[in-house]
Amino acid sequence: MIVRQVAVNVFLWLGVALVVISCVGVLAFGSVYDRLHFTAPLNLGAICIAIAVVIHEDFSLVANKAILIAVFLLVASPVLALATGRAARHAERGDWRMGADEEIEVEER
Amino acid sequence: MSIWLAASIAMLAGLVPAVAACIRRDAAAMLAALNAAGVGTVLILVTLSVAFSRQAFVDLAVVLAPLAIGGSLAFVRYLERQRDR
Repeated sequence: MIVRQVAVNVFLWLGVALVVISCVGVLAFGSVYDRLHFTAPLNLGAICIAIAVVIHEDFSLVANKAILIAVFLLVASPVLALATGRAARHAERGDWRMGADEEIEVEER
Repeated sequence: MSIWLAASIAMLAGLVPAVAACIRRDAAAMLAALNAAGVGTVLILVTLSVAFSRQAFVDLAVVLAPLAIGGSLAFVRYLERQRDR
């Protein structure tokens, strides 16, 4: 029982620490590319909190939903980070994809 | 105070920098901060659900997670098209 409580504490506070560090990191860095790096630990935080809920509640309805949320965030967050980075790059420098009839310009040195 | 409620309060305090980051810099940087704030809010709802033994909070988190990600993806599309105009 004590081991279980310790495990819940460890996973819960590890998750909380990851969330807080990510949020502070997002504020500390100004560039979108730097900020996107700090959204990754949030997924680890979600996994840690889901593990803590499962240990605390056994596989109850709440625990199953916590697992569902963690799995969803694990799959969807990288997609969103990639799309955000792509949009930021697109907004800065325009579309990088070339048309089929467009030739590559090579600078001669 | 249970550890779950304490964890919720700690994460809520940690969410303040992410929300503050949402009102600075350019739109893309704000969007990255919004992603972090959305995921943080989902996790706060999960811990609150365990703290108060209310299943409704975790249901809210299950709904909020896809909405936060989907909303950000919609904004990403807008951001991509912004330059073309």
